[in-house]
Amino acid sequence: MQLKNTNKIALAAVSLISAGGITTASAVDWSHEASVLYYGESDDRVQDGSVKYKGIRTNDNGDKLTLDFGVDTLTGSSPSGVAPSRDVQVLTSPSGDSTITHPANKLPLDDTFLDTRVSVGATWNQEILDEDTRGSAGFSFSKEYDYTHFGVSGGLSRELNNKNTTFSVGLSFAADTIEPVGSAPIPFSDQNAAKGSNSESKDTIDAIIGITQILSKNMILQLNYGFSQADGYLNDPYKWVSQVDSTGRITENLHESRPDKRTGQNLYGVLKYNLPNSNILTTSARFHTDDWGIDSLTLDSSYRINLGNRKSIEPHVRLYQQGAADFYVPQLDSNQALPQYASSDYRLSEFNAYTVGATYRWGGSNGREWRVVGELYSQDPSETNLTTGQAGLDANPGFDALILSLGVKF
Amino acid sequence: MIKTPLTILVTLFLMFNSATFAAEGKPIDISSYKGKVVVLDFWASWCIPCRKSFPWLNEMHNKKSPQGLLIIGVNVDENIQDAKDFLKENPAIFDLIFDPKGQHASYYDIPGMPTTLIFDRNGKLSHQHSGFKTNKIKEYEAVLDRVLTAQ
Repeated sequence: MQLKNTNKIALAAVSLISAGGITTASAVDWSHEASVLYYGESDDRVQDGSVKYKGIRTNDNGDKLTLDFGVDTLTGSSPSGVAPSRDVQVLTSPSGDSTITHPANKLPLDDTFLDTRVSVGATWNQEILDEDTRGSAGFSFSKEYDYTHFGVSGGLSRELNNKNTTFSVGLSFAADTIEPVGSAPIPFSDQNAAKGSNSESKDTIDAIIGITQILSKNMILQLNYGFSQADGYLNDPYKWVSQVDSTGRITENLHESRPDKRTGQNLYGVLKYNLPNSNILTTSARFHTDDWGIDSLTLDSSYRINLGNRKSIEPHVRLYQQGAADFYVPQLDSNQALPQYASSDYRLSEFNAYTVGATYRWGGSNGREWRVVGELYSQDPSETNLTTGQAGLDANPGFDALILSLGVKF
Repeated sequence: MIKTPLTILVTLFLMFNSATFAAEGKPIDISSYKGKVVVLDFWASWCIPCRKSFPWLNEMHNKKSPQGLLIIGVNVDENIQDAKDFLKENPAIFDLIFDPKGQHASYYDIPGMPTTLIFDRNGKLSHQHSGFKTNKIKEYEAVLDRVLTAQ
């Protein structure tokens, strides 16, 4: 196309990144997406099965109603933060009804988790003021045994330069309630101490500002800046930090303690490049930093290869690198005074993670689009050097995970 | 004597008030359709509103051809197979021409898909709009009727 300006490609590029279902001539259009997903970690760790649905209803005006619904079931075990030891350790379960025995020489895992979460959400999007400006408002809700989430969100977007540029801003609030099994423990208390409140709260505010820009007939770029602040109960009520003496014996296991506020910012950029034969290269980078001291960088790239006949294969690779939270420790020295905050949660540690996978898509009858996804994830934490008595034991060994998913758009 | 500068002024005025077309590209020759109201509808396989506009264009073709309406769909897909795949799902009973190099789209300075150009019975551009909304169908049809019944 030898047009002297790039106006025409605005709509083309938008369709490149839009969900885009086949629409009929009826006044109201529905497009649906449903998927099932399995996530399983190595060493009998966490396993998750989930079912998700998203429906978009577009009416004559172009107004859109998006509905989403999901069910997640979590089983398996998760590191409890207790340090590995040459001794067998016995801890009371969160409910206080039973005990958990951690074998010697192995990373202590808590296997008392069995939880199902149901989530629903809806968003309304419509033109406001003029054709080039759109506003949206939405809510989200989720419930699992010990956690309830309520959220509302709003956004504005404006198209400029003959739809070549889109500015958008978004704001969301969440009010979450945590009702830990056995009540919330007092930070740094031991397993015999009285518990605290049976209900805690956490409020989060998120703001995002972004720009999407068509760079050429075949390239589109999006840049987003995000700000996030969480206030309230940010501890994990089921995680411990071990106090270890100079011989490597665990003298006490204490409930972890985190700050009651977390403020973070992130910068995200994604570039989509349309290559000959409808092959598409997508590359993105995300940088995050927060006042817990966690800096992270994500690099992600996928290449969708058009195989013709409504089939495609898209290999994908992601690299993730994170620094540890300031208060992350694999364990505490029992001879030292307690710090202000401490957590041994592996998710706050320093690690690299790698994901490699692929998505295969094919067209079905009635314009349906199917996809199957297979990915391998590997979390590789930095070395933890434990004291003499625990030499050879690893407080944070990392893990691998398999992700499988089947989805359909119709 | 006063007439000549006046003629020049009027000519200049008309030039700047009719649509100015780009120097590059090629116009579509509609001279052989003089007497008819010609609608050039620029579309592409990736144009989502075009899936709604096609059934309406088909309906207008049936309803208003007897009054002298001629609809020509101008496809701008670089790959004609993409256009053919679109037409399988969204058939067109009106005439179609293919502009894969964008020479016509370039000439008429088309800002986006879909864009409709309506030429009166004298071959002069009377109306232009971009986009297609099903809740504006009455408006679009009223514009066609105005041009069809114009003197």
